Amino acid sequence: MELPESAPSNKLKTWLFNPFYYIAGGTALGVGLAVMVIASLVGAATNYHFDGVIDLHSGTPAPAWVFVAENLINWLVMGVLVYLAGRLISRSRIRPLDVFGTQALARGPMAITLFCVLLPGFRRVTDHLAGQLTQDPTRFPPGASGGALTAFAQVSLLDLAVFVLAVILALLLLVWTVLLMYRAFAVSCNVGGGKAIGVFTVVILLGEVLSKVFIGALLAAIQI
Amino acid sequence: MSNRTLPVQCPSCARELHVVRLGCDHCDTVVQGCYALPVLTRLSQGDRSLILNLVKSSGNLKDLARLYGVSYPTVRNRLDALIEKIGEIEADKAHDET
Repeated sequence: MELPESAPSNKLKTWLFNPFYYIAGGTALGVGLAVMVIASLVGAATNYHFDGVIDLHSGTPAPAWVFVAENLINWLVMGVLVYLAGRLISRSRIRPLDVFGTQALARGPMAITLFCVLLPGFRRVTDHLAGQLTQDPTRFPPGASGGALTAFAQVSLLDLAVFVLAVILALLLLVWTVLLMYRAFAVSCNVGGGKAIGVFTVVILLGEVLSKVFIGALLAAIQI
Repeated sequence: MSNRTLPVQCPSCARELHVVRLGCDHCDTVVQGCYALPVLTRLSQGDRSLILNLVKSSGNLKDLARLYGVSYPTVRNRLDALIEKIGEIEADKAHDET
């Protein structure tokens, strides 16, 4: 049975860009947290940190719990800000479980981004570039010489193609993540239109700053 | 009695219609007057079925969401839209009465 006057015309599109039409609350929270923890542990094994609401960067080694904590900070910061924004502009009753659950699920594409940057070709190119820029000869491929300007010329075409494709895919996944975060806000708080988009823009910018501050404080506290 | 949809809006000027004639099938008595349509009859078929299913679910939104295969906030948002629509109908009615 379909919800009258609200059923989506394209179910696949709805599942991809507004899964919250079908899933929210505890289910979304469970799936979202599981994906977040798995992505954080893969990040821990490869030194990729989710060091901001919409960030993924190669960084220093740290205990696995730090990688999980970083991702949880990102999710909690967005959850709290979205909940407060919803309370501010929505006339509907808002369940915190829906806000935090949908925000957790919205972070799913970030986990896929991690697998893009772990492609061997991408890693070889970024490692080589880092070696060139830091003038660290141990990071050059055999037969290559230093110099940032020649960095791209010294990697194979296949690796370069993988690198470009991974960057494009990562950007698309980032856009998908932001879109899902907005849809999560719209559904869980029953808001829409220009006002909701404006408030969400402020929320995500503030979230980015606050998550960086909290993650920075965490890393400083454990001296990493 | 046929299963036709009750018209609630004037096809000519789009204003709300009223009941002016009621008849008894048994004794052919006819009552004439000007009766406003109840709020529920002025809602769409989809809205009425939603209300019916809400009552059948004892007002439990989780059960209603399960019935339609959607999330809890989706069904709650749909009900919020319906509450707003009912509010507008009631406001129009109050406006007409004054």
